Parts: sequence; structure tokens; C-alpha cells
Amino acid sequence: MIFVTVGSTYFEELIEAVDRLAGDGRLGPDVVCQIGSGQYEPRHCRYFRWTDNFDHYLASSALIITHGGMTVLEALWRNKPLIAVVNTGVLDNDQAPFLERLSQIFDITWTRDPREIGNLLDHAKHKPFKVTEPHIARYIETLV
Amino acid sequence: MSVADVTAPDEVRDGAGPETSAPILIHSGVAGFSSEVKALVSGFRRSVPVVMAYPRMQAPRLQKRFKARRFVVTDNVNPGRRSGQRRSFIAFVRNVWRCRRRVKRIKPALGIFLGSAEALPMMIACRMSGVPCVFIETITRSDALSRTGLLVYRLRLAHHLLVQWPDLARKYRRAAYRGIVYDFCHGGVDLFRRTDRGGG
Repeated sequence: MIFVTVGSTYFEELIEAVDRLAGDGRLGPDVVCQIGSGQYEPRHCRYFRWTDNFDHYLASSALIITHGGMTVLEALWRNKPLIAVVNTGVLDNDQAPFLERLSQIFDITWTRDPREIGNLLDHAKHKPFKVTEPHIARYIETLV
Repeated sequence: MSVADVTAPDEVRDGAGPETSAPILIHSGVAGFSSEVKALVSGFRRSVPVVMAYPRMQAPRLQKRFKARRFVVTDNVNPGRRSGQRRSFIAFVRNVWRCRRRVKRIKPALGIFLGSAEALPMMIACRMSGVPCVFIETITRSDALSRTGLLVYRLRLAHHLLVQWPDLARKYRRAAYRGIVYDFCHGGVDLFRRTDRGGG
């Protein structure tokens, strides 16, 4: 399954681009889109707006196409191939700097243009990583 | 806990069994913020009593995700401009007051607030009640604080403002870098084993 997610807002350009690719047969038969509050409803994919079972879709997907938010880290945490797309329609957009920083560490596949997704399908993997950063919980435990 | 419990009038819901020490109050925002909170909570090595605070609108979904033994439901005010909802200063003040009543009842040892503007009423209530507050900027902010983070920074609303990128700690001198909320060695990828993980 290919899982596409836009997070808590909307990302019309991403859903439209994915729907186009699905209609052309480039993504296979099993594509599921989480469209949030977006107006565009895909014609060639299954879709929903919100779910209580988000973790299940992430865990059972073979490829995750996501906006440049927290789902990128969720995909990395699960070692899933991913393509991240900057959502420029969101207020106070911080996704491009975030993805640039992440790509320096994880070599993730990302783009600012949803129309490029078709060209990135074969590159949707990230390099094995080792993260040695401490967990914030260690510090918080010293405060209690 | 059922959905009916969540939609009942705002109160602190207690699970079974007494608390042996003052709990940590953790406020969870929605969507990506809840993922970070979940990652944070999973990182505690020793058992700490936790009370989760949720905004009312997302309470049923967040409660399924966290299954906390104790939780607080806060009103939906200041949910953020991204959700397109109107903000009301009067409702904000009222929510702070309601949160303060809950804080007085919970008596947390520490309040942890991660990223979202929805956490502001509870954080201000904790601050007014003398509870040490930790604000953790979301990891998605890599080059500048969010508007909420800037507000917290400039008004010194939190006793500890933690950022998850070292560059931000250099940029904002009152912020500190103490690591990240994600434990990449724990979750799903057994590439590298940590040898210093303790029990509990």
C-alpha cells in the first residue's frame, strides 16, 4: 500500500498530483490518501479525512508520501521509504528548512514541487542512520 | 474510559489506585504534536505518574492514543490559525481560569508543554500556580522558534525552554538543547543497540 498524508490541515496540490499518478497507473492499485480538510477528493485512490488508526496506516504501508511535518520522522522511525513534499500553503511554513536539515542527516527524498513525485518514486529510500542524540526524557527526569 | 466520560463537564478523571508522588502534567496538542508527546512519554525510563491534558475537540482521539490513567480535558481555545478557527481573548482567559482550578487539584510536580498554542492556557495556569513549566519546541522547527515558542521565550512563560536542534539553542540564548524526543534506537529499527538503557 502507498499511504499519502497531508497532516492536520490540507495540501490540495499533493493530493491532486498523487491522484493523477494513480490514474496513470504509476502507483499501483492500492493507494490510500489522508486528505485532512482539503476540498479536492481523489478519484483514483481510496481516501479519508481523519482517522484514529493513523499508526496502522503508517505501519502497513510500503511507501509513505507525506507533507513535510512530523510524519517524516514517524516514517524514519519505522524505517519506511518516504517522499516528503513541502506544503507551501500552510501558515508560518517551516517545512522546507526542516526537510533540508533532515536530508543532511538522513538523506531523505523530498521536493518542493508535488509534480515531481513521479520522478522520485525510484529514489524513495533513505540511508541507514545512527542517531546518538540524547533523549529529552533523560533531562526531564532530572527535573522531577 | 469511554467517550461519554470525555464529553462530560471538565474535570480531572482519576483512574484506579492512589498516586504515590506528584505527577507530571503533559499537555498534548493534536496531530503531529501528539506524536511527539507519545515519543516523549515512551522515553521515560523510570516510572513517573503522568496526567495527560487534551484539548476537548480532540480528546476522544488522543485518549485512544495515550490511554492515560488520568487525564484532563481543556476547552478548545486558541487552537491555532492553521485550523481556521476564531480566537477569543475572553474565552482564552476563561480557559486559563478553568485550567488553574484543575492544576490546583492535580498539584503536578512539573508541567510539560510541547509546541502547540493549545497548551498556552494550561501553561499559564501552571505558571500562576507555581508549577515549574517546561516548553519543548517541536522538532519540526529547525531554524527559528514557532510563534508560540517566541511568545513563551519573550514572555518567559516557561522555566525551561527546550529546543531540539543545537543551532536554535545558539540562536536563542535562553533556550537549551537537551536532546530530541525521538528514540530512533527504540522504535522499530533495531540497527543499533543502546547499551545504556536502564529498566523501569
